[in-house]
Amino acid sequence: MNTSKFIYPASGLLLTSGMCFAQERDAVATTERPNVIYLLCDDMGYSDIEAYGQQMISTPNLNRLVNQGMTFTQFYASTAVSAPSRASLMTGQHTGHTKIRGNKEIQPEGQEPLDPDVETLGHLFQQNGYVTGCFGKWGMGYPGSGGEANDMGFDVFYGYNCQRKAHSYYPEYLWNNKTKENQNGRYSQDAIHEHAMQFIEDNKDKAFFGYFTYTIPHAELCQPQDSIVEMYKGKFQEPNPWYDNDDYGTATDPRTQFAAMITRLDTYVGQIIDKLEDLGIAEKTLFIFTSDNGPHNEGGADPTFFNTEERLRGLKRALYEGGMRVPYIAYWPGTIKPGSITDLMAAGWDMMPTFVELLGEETNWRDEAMDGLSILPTLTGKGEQQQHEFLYWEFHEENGRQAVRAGDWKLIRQNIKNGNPTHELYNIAEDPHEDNNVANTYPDKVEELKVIMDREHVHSNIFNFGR
Amino acid sequence: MNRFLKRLFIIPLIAAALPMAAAGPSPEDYITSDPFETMVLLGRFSEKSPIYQMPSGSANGGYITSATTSGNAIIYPLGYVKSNAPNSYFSIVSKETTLLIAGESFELNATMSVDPSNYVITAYTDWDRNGTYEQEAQAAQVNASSKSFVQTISVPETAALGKTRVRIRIDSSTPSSADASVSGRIYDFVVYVMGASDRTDCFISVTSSNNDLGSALIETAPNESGRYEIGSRVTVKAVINETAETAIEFKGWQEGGEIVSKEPVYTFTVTKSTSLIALFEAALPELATPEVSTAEAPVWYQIMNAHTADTRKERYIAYDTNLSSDYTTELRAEKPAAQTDKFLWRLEDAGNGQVYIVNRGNNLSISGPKVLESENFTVSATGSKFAITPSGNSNGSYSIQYEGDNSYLLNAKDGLWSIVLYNAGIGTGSGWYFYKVTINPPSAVDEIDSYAAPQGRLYDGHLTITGLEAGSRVRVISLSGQLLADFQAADTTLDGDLRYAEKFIIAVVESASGKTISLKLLDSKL
Repeated sequence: MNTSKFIYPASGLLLTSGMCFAQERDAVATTERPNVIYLLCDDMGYSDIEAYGQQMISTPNLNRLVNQGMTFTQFYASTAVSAPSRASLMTGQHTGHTKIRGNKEIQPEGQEPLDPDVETLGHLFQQNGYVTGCFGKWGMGYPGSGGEANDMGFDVFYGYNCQRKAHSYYPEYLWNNKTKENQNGRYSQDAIHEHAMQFIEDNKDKAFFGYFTYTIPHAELCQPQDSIVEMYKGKFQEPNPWYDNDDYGTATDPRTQFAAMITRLDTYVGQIIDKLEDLGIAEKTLFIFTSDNGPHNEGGADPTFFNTEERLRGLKRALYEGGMRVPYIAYWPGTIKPGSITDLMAAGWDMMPTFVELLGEETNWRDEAMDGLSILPTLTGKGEQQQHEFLYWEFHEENGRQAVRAGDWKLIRQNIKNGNPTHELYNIAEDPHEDNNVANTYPDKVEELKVIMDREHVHSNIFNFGR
Repeated sequence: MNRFLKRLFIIPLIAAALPMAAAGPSPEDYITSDPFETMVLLGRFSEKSPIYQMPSGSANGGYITSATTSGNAIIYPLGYVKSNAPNSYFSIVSKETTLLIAGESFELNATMSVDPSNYVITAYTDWDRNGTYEQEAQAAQVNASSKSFVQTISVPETAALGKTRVRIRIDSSTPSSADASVSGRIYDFVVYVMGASDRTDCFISVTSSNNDLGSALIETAPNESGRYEIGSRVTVKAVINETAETAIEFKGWQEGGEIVSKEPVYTFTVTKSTSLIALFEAALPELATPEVSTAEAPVWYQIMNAHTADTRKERYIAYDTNLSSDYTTELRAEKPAAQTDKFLWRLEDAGNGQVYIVNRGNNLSISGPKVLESENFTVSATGSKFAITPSGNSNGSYSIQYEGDNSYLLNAKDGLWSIVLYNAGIGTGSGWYFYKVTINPPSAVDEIDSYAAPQGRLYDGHLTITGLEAGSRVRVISLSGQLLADFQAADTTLDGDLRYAEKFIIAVVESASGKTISLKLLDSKL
């Protein structure tokens, strides 16, 4: 780690918060040790963008990203809902090990906090001299918990602390670090994106880690009624208007709104690419686009309509492929081969070891073990790519679920909490849609994967499948 | 299959089968054995794509069971098959696709679950990729007997390169536009237009009008491009499925709506890319005098209503547990008929000159109470008794009298098409024709023992067939009739790789003893 010092003022934002998060930041991005932008959108399904088979929604900028970067066809979110998926990403531990394994709300605002002692991706980059910023939804520590973004390795935070509050795209306020900032009717995603873009601009001559957690296309389904929405007006039948249920606001044309929200997000992506190119730092930036879990059907959203050919089974909250397999595109001009495609099996908790290797850190950079593998060899085409022996997921709503994928095999355990769990075995290579449960045909494989399942779930007092 | 092996396998095979001129695009640039890789390759094909309007409407009538493409414009052919009705009236077909070149034409060959001549078929294209469809000038050529249609489509030289769609509308009446509300089905086939390239060879494809009745294959091997040189001679062959229960006739080779040959083996000189359809038909049932028969020696009939009004004529008694907006009762008067179990009935002696009317599919008999008009009949294990007598009408029809009472006549209820009793319409609505259907008897037990039905499996382009008669010849063909492999089985099991991976194939097995059967297989990997 470099030792020379730099005080990051965060464009004055930190000063206005009345708190001091100033850190010593001295690194400068290079083509070998680049900036990192990790854009984790919310509830975007595998086939919600054109490169992954979408036929009704226009995503030209994501196509541009695909054409210039590397596309993963078998990348998995860390689980099938928001908070644990993000916690796993942030801590480098899968959901059998990380503290937050479910969406647990704390009233009046926020969620169960990360372990205050855990070292996150934010800390990793901070310790390597990077300026770090989180822009969007946090959801891993209520205000005052010690688990807010600013407490967990991010110099700058702008967005929602609470997942529930993020159900509104026109919130009363967003958090500017630890200060509430009244929005006065502004569309939150525009505000968040603007701050993210400013963060890039402010740090163009340094090294930065941007964790962009835009809420689109999560419900509610609404946005400014501008030219993007106009593109879709009248294009789809709207047989199922959605009306305010005190959680998600009214969307009388939910298909139109959903499509436009995806294109709006695509527009943000285009602006990020343009910004990197305009600033001349594209070759010094690894930009990753992905999602926190599969597609939702909330607030009027209609994933069945938009995925008529249903490439994968299941939605958000399912441990079938559709609930977890997500788009993942990595862009790093000059390093990643343009237009490359990989079927490497990887998951959210692989990001920490990937960034550890990227930064030249030791794998024992912190006390806690990391569960993942670095995918840097695949991204750069250099070195030997290690393969996972297995991937493991757990989910604590709807009676509890676990899943293991080992090679082509995948075992799903459901109805855990009622004491009579079921097991489904699929060969994902042969049956990616998971139509044919072959558990009875391959009982030995079921038992083999059960052992992994039972071993990888470390007891949690909070998320314990009712045991 | 790992990536290295996959590349090693698929690229040479596809390249051998379907390469383009040196400067042109190659299918292997876009179609690989990994469907998700193909998804990305095609998904990013056009950076910006138009947004198309989804018409309003509702599903009605039949649906497309298979669709293929052929012709000079084809770089990679469509191979779409569907055994069940889509959930929605509006379908986007993109997982199966076709690659095209501008400045050429192609045929979209489709078969339907029903006779398409009862519908208006309209094709629309968007070659300038502006999101607005234009209607194709040429109408689809419909073949009622084969339940198929061929739509010729020209790709203009000025076509914008990139992803676009061909919209096929199947309406009950002529639509006012591509985006008009539909009562029927709309298919948006996603296609990809690539730059033109010079060539001196053509794409020949053959398709069976009904894969249950027979197969079509090209006997002549193609060049290394999977195509045929202009001026060369090509032989195609129609093979009747000898294991089918009904008698089958080969009606001829159809090209562009015309019968060009009635010979099962047809040789012609290549002048253009073309698609031939081998027309197979089940032998037509014969109008007959109804006779009593037994389960052991059954005589099967289609029972057609004698009414002559447009909406009521040519309706047959059918039993089907699948209900729809057209048919809300399981026992109904349905059209068009097929030689499937639900339309087949035999007459079993019930004593006293009366009969039970027994369905072939479930061995249940038509039954209902002796109530006029208001009670819909169904089938049951016991059944009702009927006397079948000439109606007296000059049309030669028969009355089906409930328990021999000529005031209670089986009839088809107008509009609802349920089967009820009427005290009217003798000879028309209460008159019925009996068409005798020839069903091939099952093979003798010892014959089955000596030649068990082969079983096949296709995975990632690798074919395994077991239960073969030693010395059998197995020819594997694609939906478009391309010969993918030609094997000679040394023993009862065959293992082999196809020339290139196809999702759907037909394996035509010719045993040493001369018996021919076909296996339809889906690649469980693709």
